Amino acid sequence: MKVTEMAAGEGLRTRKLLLAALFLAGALLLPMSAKADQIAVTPPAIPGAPALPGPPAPAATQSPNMTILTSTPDQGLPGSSVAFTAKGLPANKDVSIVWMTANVTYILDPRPDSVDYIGEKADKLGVVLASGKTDADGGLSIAVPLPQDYGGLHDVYVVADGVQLAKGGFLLQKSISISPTSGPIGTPITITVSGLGSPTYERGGAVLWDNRFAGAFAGNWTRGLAVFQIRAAGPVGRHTVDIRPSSHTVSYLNIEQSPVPWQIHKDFTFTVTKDNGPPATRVDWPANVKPTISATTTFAASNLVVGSAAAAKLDPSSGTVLSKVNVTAAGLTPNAPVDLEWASVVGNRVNCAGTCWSFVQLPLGNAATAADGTLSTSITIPDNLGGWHVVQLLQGGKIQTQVPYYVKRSFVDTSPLKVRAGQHFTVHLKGVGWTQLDNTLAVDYDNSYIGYGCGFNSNGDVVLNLTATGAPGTHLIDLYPLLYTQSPTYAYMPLAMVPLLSYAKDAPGLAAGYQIPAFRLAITVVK
Amino acid sequence: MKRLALLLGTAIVGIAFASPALAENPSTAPSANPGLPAPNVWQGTAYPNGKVFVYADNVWGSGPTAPAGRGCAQSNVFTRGQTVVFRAWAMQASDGKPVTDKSVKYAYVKIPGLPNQPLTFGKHGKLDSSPWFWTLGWTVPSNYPLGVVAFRIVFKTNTGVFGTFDQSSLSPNSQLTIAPSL
Repeated sequence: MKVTEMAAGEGLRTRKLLLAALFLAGALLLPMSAKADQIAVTPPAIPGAPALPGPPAPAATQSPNMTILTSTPDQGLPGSSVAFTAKGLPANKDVSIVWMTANVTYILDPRPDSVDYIGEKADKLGVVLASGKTDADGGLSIAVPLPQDYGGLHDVYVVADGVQLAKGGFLLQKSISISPTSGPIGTPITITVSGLGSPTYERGGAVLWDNRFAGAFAGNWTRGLAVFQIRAAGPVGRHTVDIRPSSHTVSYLNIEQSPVPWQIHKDFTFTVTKDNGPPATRVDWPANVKPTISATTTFAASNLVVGSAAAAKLDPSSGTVLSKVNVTAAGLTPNAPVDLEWASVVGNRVNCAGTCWSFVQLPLGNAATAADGTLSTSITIPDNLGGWHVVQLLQGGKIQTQVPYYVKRSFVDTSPLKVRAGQHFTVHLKGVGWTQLDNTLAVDYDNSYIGYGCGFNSNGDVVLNLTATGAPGTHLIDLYPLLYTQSPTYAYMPLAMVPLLSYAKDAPGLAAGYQIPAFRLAITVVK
Repeated sequence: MKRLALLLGTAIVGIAFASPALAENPSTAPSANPGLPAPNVWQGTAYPNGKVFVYADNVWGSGPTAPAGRGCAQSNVFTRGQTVVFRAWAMQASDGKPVTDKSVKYAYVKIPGLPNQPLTFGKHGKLDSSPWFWTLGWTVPSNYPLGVVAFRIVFKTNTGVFGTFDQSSLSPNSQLTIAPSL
């Protein structure tokens, strides 16, 4: 392919087209039906996430004379106590109480040109909850505190010498609470749900505010414990917050008649006491966790010139568009010019059936190395797509080294801030990405999900066109992360295409280094 | 939804105890062998060592504890007080003949915590062509543990050949499970 000559000057926004042979193979052009290389991601270390209830238990075989393990009670909440008893076991035998549970995670397909959200996965396992010893008559009686674990049915075994001697079960119940239960418009309301399950139809939940769908949540990485926030929307008075079970996204309204009726729902009254005017704009970032996937978009080792000893560093390594970043490098050809390029993509997912986007390089400027082959310069992050990009250092037209940089979403403005009902207003953001993890954002108006905005086609710049509604007073606009599951679409994707309320501690993008916040905004409707 | 979705999960073909690979293709039961479930009956090729091949599932009992319209429908989730029916078909791999009450020494379901529960061979239906198979109706005791029922079905023929069925190879979501009544 032909490379367009770059014009001089930093402020010039000339784009280079692909350097296919040097840059990336044609295989990286993405057809809609790209085969996914699925990875069940290792969960990051989430602050406050409950630990596995015990060490993994070795595999065991079933005794041909398996007896019963009685649980008293056989339903309860984490932290309460259960007494396990059994008879007819071998006498004076050391035994383990094995609690069957699961690990739940997300499945992603991370590639240089994008990251796809494939779905969720649960792997069953047994853990040693407690140890005990049978008495001289082969009886066992042991009291155990119940762990903070996924809710629902848990099989429990008495195991000795690799043999399951007795079998029991326990239902770990669900609990739901909100705090506080009153406050002015904009009050953050913390919702705590314990006992979300590990099977498919038991993992998720939905929040309704006055019967309006605010969003979905899950506790996949937090062993069924979801703690997240919405805000109190007006008007002044009593409102109903309904925390519902969900199989995918929205509420499962008659789960009581399903095979999993223990996934209860609970509703609360929140009293909005006052309208103090629009609360200050706030950006609620997710937990700052270490990614467990090293691959980042636009990074391909095959880009590099063979044998290059160069290395570079960016400081900082993340920021918003138009941020200033210091670049230092070593191992380059001494006393020679260096071209700095920004690797990105251009395209979209709309009505696409073929090549949907392509790689591009955006010029960041030029510099020159010192006599020792080092470089120290600065760049400005382009006003372009968010997410992961690489900064490439080229000499002689070849990429000597490249360093990933994460572009964070940023809020520009809401305009106007005071509107009449029926009047249009806009919300402007930048740095929205292009992968299924970060190319869109969900919009709640007074805790009602009204739609989404997408930044791919507009190179990360998103202007949401909204209409003010409601009585005079403060109205809230909350922008949440959203898992975009079109182009391509896979078989079963829970939590798709809705506000992800539990994004702060349970979002697949966290494993891939995507720090996607919620934006808390507000307008005033006037007469 | 879970029950319906797991119809196939519970109604799988059991594998003869310690048996090597069995016949690859299902076929309909020959009319000379009444009581064989059709159409997806595995017909073994002759195995000189002689194994018993077991096919099993669970259905609702037809009594008052079953939800309306569910009698004899496959399911894997039951609550205490409801009646679980174990159904089993057993065939001698050596000649493809069904194991009946005439050819069996014993046939039972081992349910943890209970003595062996004998299976009964009988015709199910009023027609001459109604199928014959083995069944056990088990009403779940009020204090039976929640969760998976780790049952096993055991056959021994008069010639000393064993066949067993257990559900351990099934997905945990497909195994016979006692759920709480809420």
